[in-house]
Amino acid sequence: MLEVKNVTLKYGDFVAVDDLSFEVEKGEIFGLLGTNGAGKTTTFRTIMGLLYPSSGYVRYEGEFVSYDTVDKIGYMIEERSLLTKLTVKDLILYFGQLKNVPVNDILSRLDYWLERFNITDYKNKKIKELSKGNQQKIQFISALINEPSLLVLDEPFSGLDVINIELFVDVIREYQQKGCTIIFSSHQIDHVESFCERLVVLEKGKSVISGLIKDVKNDFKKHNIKVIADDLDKDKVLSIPGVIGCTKDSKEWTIKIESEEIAPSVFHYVKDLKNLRKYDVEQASLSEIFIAKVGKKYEEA
Amino acid sequence: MKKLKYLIKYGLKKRIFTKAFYISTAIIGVIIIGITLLPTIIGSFSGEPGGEVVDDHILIVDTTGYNFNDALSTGLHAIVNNLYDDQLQADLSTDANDVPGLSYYDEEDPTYRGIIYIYLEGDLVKAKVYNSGMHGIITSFLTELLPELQRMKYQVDHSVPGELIADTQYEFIKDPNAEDTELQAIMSALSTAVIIPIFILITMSLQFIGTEIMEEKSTKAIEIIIASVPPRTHFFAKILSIMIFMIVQLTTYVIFGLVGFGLNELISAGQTAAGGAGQSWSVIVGVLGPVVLPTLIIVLICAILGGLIYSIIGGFFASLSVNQEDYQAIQTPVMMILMLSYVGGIMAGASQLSGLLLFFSYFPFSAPLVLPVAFAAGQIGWMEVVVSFSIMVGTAIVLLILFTPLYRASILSYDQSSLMKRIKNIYRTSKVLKENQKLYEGNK
Repeated sequence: MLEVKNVTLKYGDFVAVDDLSFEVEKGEIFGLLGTNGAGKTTTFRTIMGLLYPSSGYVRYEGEFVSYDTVDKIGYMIEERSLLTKLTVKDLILYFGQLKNVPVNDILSRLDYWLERFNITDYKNKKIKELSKGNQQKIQFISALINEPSLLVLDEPFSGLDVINIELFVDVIREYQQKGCTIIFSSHQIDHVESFCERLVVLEKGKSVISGLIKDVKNDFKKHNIKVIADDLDKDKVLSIPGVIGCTKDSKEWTIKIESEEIAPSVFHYVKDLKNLRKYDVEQASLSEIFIAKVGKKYEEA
Repeated sequence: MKKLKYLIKYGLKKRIFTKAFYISTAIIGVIIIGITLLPTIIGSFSGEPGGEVVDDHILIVDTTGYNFNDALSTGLHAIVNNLYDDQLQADLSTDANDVPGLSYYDEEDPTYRGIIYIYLEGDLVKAKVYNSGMHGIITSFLTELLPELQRMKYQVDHSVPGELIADTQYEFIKDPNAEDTELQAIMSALSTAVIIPIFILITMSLQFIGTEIMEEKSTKAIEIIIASVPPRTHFFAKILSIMIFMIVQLTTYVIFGLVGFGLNELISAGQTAAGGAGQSWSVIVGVLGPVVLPTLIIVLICAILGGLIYSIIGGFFASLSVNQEDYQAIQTPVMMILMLSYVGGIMAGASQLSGLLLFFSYFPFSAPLVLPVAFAAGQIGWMEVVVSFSIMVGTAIVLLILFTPLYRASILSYDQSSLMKRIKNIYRTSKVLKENQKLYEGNK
């Protein structure tokens, strides 16, 4: 289990992370979200033992994270962190040996992963000769080469097409099933929503949303009603007390309501419309919750 | 420790097992062997033996009563005759009054190009040599023969161990009027030759460490590396791998030099025996002979210590930079100091100003370049050399103590403010990191 407890990290007067707490269970995928400069990288660096908190602590499997525990951790950072002049093989040998993995194990694991990601031909190619997506695969392999029990993934899907995202998702799920603790961030909030059970959203170093995603959604009162019908009068909908928005996306209307209790009033109006084909009350998406809490779209942030 | 060793090995492998290293070593090796073989090469082009005239007029004064002057004169004629057009004139005397002492050097155009004075002190045979420009073959012969006089006195060979029969002590009396323009000219030329390899090696170490750290930092690979090894280990590994590489390179050059030297001596001995015009290095270096080996040793130590000091600085400055261009800009002050030291070293060789030489020899950033020249010029002795070495080692230690904690903060920083502001920020961050670490470890 990874335990981040009351972690505060200050640089003089500047507070990079403020009293952050969360726990990630063994075999759990945990989402860490935040705008740029919210303290995500600092949190990842603290988890990796690169930075020491001013107060609080980070423990992994009951031990304080330090250079004694890093060999069990796989780390992938947001930007490409590859030595582009090296060949794939040399780079993985370099990173693997820094994690104390025997050379033979590195080579056999590398072959396995290259095959799995369909890039066996690139083993002796220089990193700079690879496409952005393939570089991302190599970066992912470098994080897995020590067969970590804790995976810290900062933007693992960056630069990948849909097929390769699926490939990565399969591997991450596989690691989850093996009992690996996974903490990850993504700019695509739908990934976090589909992937993680729990999350923390950081804003200016502080946790603004935290907990199980389903609880977060339940706690967030606002709901959306999806309606497909003819002759819907937007002004009439907006005049219903508790309705805060009404927008049309192609044929479908999205009516935003303050709470679930408003839904019957909306239904009362909608039921008399011509050709009513859809009426669906949904919880707000994570993206909407993010906008509501942070004040801007996550992707923009 | 395992990761430190691995990082050093990785750095060395990356530098040594490359085509560039093999090719450059082969080229430099050929050049070094070529230079060391120059006397033989020139000798083989100088035509028939006897072409060069040796017409020195010398005086040999022997007051020992063992007729060493006869033996010396005969030996000298034999060797000169073998190699050159022998017009050597050696006057013999047994009267100590014929030795003018230091006043010999006061004469503007002395009768004798050199005076060899052999005398007894108790039972010991001693010798003094006054030299105002004797041919190299004569000084070389004297340095070979004079130590043997004591054995000649007892008519024993080298089968009798040195503990029983001491070698004859001899001394080349220096011109007290210090204005030795010839020596000055030699030193001036030599200083450039001595400084260039040190300058190149130091510049190389500065560039190598900078490039390597920048390559890792600018690609952000450093985040992954520092997540596996402590920044201190990373910093030490980079410096140590550069230092070991430098030592390997220097050793290779020394081996090439020794091979060339050995070949030259072998060929020159063969040519001499065959009546040819082979030239030995000992003949060429002449009066500089006794300082050549110590100077070479000092050059090697200075190259290593200079490389160490500048690679520590280079490593830290690279950790402050965000990309290669930034590093080139940031290291400008360091290059300026190095350039000034380079010029200082050359000036030191030419000017013979002992005050200036001493300053440059003690200033740790210029000492690696100036010290060998100052020593070779006879401006400083072993004592000053040891003090200078101690200063350089001390400086390297102080720099390591100073920069290692800062490196931890700077290696993960991508601050792009001015250099001074950057250092200030890094200093603050490293202080916070240290305090946090203390607190954190206290809580464990």
